Amino acid sequence: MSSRIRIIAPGVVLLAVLWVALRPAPLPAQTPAARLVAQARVQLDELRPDTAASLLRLVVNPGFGAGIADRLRAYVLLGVAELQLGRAPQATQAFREALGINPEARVDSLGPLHPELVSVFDAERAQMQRVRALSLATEMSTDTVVAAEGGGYLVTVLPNTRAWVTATVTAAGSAAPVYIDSVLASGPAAFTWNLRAADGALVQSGRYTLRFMTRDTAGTVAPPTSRAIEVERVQTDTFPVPADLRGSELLPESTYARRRPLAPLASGAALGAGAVLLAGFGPLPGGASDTRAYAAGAAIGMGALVGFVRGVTVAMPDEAAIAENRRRVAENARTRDAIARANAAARAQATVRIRTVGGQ
Amino acid sequence: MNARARVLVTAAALAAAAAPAQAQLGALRRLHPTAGGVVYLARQGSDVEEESRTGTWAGVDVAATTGRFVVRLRGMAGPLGGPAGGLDQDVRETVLSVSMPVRPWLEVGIEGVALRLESELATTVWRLYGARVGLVREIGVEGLRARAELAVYPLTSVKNARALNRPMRAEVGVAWASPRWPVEAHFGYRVESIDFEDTNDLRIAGLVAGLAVRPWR
Repeated sequence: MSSRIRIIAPGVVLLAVLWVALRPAPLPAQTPAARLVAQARVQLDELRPDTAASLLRLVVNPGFGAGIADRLRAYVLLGVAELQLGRAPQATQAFREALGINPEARVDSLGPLHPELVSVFDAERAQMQRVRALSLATEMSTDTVVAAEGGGYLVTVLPNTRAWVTATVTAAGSAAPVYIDSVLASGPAAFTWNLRAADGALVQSGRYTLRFMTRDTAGTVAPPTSRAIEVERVQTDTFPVPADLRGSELLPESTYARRRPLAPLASGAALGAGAVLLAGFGPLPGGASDTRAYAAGAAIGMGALVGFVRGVTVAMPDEAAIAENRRRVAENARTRDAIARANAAARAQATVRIRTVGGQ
Repeated sequence: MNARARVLVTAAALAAAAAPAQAQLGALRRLHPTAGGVVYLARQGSDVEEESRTGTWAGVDVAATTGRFVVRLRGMAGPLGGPAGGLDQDVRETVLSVSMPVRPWLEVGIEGVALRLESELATTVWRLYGARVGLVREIGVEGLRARAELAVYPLTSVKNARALNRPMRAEVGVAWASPRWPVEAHFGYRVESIDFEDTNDLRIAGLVAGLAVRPWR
């Protein structure tokens, strides 16, 4: 009995091992992304590109977490769906994404899905190859100090082929560049930012972005490159320019005197006499004087007499005060001019420090 | 509204229509008017004392300065009466003048006078057209000026009276313009002399006083 057990047991173990070893291996489980891609493919085969595109956009959404292979396939099929929908630009964009993942990707096997699929895909591949081929090398000081007056920040660019290079400098938080310049370069070319804003004033301290756009003569545009730079105006000592002299700081230039001019008195006397003369032309018979005219004459004469007695206040120039004021004004002007010149000299010696920030 | 009034209103309407309203307002702002009342203690004399008559006339005196021109309109009305019976008259005088200064102290201009004397016996109308000269001199007190005027009327027309010869008017007095308030006053003695071609002179003379305001300057 025991010998039979000993004989059977090694055979069972051997069979079990063989079963485990030789049983067919289970197929790996399909990922959700792969399932959606497969379903999208079925939709494309059945000429339902809208549904297919919806499924594929889920897959290429970064939040979906699809793997590289699934994303590559999803972008390709999304391009196919867009082509079927007649939206060539969107198709090109999807193909560009796919080629970004795998520049060697091919779509020959999908040709039956759209007659232009292969040609559009290959054209985009060629375009991307041109873009990849277009490159720009830049060279700039990573930390330098330049003069605020007449100085500039020099950047050298070198495209790998003849191309237009446009450089802009934009303050952080601003959309409008403070500097923009272009050059058609077939070799090393230089840009010099004079540290001036559009209004000609020295730029404020702060962070700026130096950006380069490259476009070759065939119209191919390379992805822009940018570099953050920190501009720091080094403080210089200047002096406040004094204001013009106020009126209270000047001496009165007139003296006043009371005069009694004779002309008004004479005028009053003459016209008063005229009134008296008119009395003789009055309406009284026999040429008798109309005494009422004397009232008018008296009014004139009294007015003139009062005016003469009161006199008038006449302003007389005070030559000494005028000379003193001229001296003070001239001295003030000299002081202002000297300070302004000193400030200008200080500003001319002022410097600006420029540092690149972070990587390229 | 009589024919003359209709003509005046029509002319004013046409003049207003000729310029845009804004231009008219601008012109109005450049206008410097004065308006006030005037009193005239008049005496009409004659070679014969019994024929002399007196009266107090009152009226309005309106002037406007625009640019270099001064336009003045004065209207007065009042009685002339005396001891002799049947000679009382109601007098209405209207004077329109346009003057311009040629020197700070001298102005010249033209003047028209309509004088209407109405009595129980007849209504006499004199229309006198001529030139005027005015003298103005400061006499030392702020705002106070002595003034004299002389007007001669070589052109005349007479209705229901004898023809006129060498009518003229002279006036001497003082004028005061307040430097603080928009008020002006004047006082003077005035003589109007009218020669008749076939008889002796007629004089109307007396004291004139007026008070006016300047609505804006």
